[in-house]
Amino acid sequence: MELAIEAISKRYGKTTVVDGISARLHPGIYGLLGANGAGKTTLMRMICSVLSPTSGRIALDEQDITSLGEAYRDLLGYLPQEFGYYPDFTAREFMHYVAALKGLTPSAAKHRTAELLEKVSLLDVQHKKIRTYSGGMKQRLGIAQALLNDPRILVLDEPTAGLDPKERVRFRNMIADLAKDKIVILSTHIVPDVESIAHQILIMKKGRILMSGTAQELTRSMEGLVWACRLSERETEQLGRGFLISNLRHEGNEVELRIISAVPPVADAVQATPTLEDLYLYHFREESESHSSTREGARP
Amino acid sequence: MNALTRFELRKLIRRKTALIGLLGLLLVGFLSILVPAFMEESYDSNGEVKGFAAISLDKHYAQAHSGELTPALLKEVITRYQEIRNNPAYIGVFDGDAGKKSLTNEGFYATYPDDFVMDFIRSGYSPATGYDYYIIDQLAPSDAEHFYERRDARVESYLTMDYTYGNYSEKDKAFFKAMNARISTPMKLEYTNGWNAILQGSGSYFLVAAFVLSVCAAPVFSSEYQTGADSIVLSTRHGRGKVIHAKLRASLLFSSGMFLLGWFASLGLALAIYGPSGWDSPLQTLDTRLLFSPFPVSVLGAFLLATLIGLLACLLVVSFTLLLSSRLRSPFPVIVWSILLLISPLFVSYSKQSRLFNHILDLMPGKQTEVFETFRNYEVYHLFGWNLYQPYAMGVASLLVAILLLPFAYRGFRKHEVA
Repeated sequence: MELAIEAISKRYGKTTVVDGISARLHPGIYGLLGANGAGKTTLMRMICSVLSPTSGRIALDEQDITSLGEAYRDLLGYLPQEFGYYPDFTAREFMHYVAALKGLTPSAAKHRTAELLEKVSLLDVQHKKIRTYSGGMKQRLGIAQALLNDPRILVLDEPTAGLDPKERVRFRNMIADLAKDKIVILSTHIVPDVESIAHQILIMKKGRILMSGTAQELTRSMEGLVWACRLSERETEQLGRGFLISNLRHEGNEVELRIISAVPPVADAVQATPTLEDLYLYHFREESESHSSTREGARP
Repeated sequence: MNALTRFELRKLIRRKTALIGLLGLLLVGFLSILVPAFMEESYDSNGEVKGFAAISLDKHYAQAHSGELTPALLKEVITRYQEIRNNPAYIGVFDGDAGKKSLTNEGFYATYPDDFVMDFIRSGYSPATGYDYYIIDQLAPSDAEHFYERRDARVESYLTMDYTYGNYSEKDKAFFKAMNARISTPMKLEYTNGWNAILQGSGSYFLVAAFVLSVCAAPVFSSEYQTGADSIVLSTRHGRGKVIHAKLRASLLFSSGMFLLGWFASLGLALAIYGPSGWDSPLQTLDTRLLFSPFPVSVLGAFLLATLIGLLACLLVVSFTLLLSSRLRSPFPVIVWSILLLISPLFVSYSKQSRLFNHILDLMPGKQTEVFETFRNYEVYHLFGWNLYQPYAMGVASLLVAILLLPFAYRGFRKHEVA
């Protein structure tokens, strides 16, 4: 199975949201990493055929997904970023409804619903109305509905949003288990969510794929750019004006710093092993300054 | 019914608007029966009787005349009236409107048991130019022989009159004469007030039903867009096919069910209060305003036809709402545009120059809710060589336009993109 994204673009008037992206995806987990507004959601919507590209095409095993239509959608599982639910439905009813949309037989729907609700720890609250659920519970329900038809292509847009750290770990393990013969595409701006499970990471910026590869391949590009040092609080304040600090930790009167820089920030700075988070910060410096989202992501 | 349709129905039924709408429909239906019932007036020898007692008394008077509206019955009633009218004991004070001395209250009470039949006499013998309450004073018992000839003459005068918006063609005249010829005489006479009460309130019920059903149908597609559920629905196997059929089917089923539930509950109330008698009487005896109607149909037939056309008018509004719902991103503008379509024709005046304009206006959804009023009209639509009596034309137009709109609603959701 090969999902080929061939030079697809999406434009709204003069604004280009996705700009000529090409990729060939095979079974495995693909992490789509990028700041808000990078075009991840638009790309995923096009992959899920709920949005048409302005140009280019997406093909599954050489066949255009538009012409495949129902047969393509039958292979899909999709968790949108802001997924709409029916507040007056119970989780079980919602799952049965989505199962009917996916063409499952009533007995298969019943079986899969119980199995998946168990998997996402919602079985004991399956008869409660969705409106009574917390954000995390709704997100888990969204994940469960995406898996109902045992999809060959699973597209998860910000799947860990709203999940607590324990749930995120469990979700990552669940996806890793599921991904054996599937193409799993998951987008996030939370680096650790893709770092540990993605076979390939695609970094998106301004509608384009900036770079792609395994976590190791990508972090290799940062070698020699990450430094560690210990400074006083006053020195830290001065250094912060000129350098990109990826992490800092107070220890007594001193501060332990992790700095991204092409040159040693201070004389006694030592080179550190780069992480994906360093790479993210390096490329999304402006975005992280305005959103501070990766800082949040740095503490799972 | 397939699983998707059941789920879509469940979505519609569980919305608060469904419950509020149903309560609203029942309220309008019940009020349109109860308010006139409480205001009913009748008279016995002691004077005025009101409300449910008046209904019971009127029913008693009418049942005394039930049978057929024969010249013999009319003659009997005119004779009885003249006897009372000419009895010096019942002569009252001078009445300017009548131009003569009126009956005393006792005299009026004495004539009232025949009032049910006298109303037909007053309507039947009044000139074509207007209703004359006192015409019965001028009638001799022998005039009763010509009641149905008088009716035919009145119909003839309608058809030959000069109208600013165009006269009837010979073909039209022949069409209406043929319709009238199918009304059998003497007409069956029975107490029909239960059916009259429900049919008189049909216009307001149908209008409110169209409004309520439009509000209920507005979120069918647009709320999927508004809540973001469209992403999930459209990415599934049946998301661009079967589920749209299910949504349309569920909307039409829900609308029909809700319409009929409220409507038949109102009918039940009307018949519980007034009784079911008169269902097999001709429409012309339902109310004196309908005496000259060309429509050869029984009271029950008229009720069923009004129900069907009212339902089709509502389904037309629902179809239009569904079309808008598939194109607009939130239910509110859908409701606004649908309501505008529904009520704006009600504010358009009939033309004094063009019958065609009036015919088109009568096919607008708001006007269609007043279908019962058209049962006495002499209006025929010429379509592809067919002559369609106005109520049928309204029903056919609603059905056709509703059917035509649904594929566009289908296409609207099928082609929708999540942006």
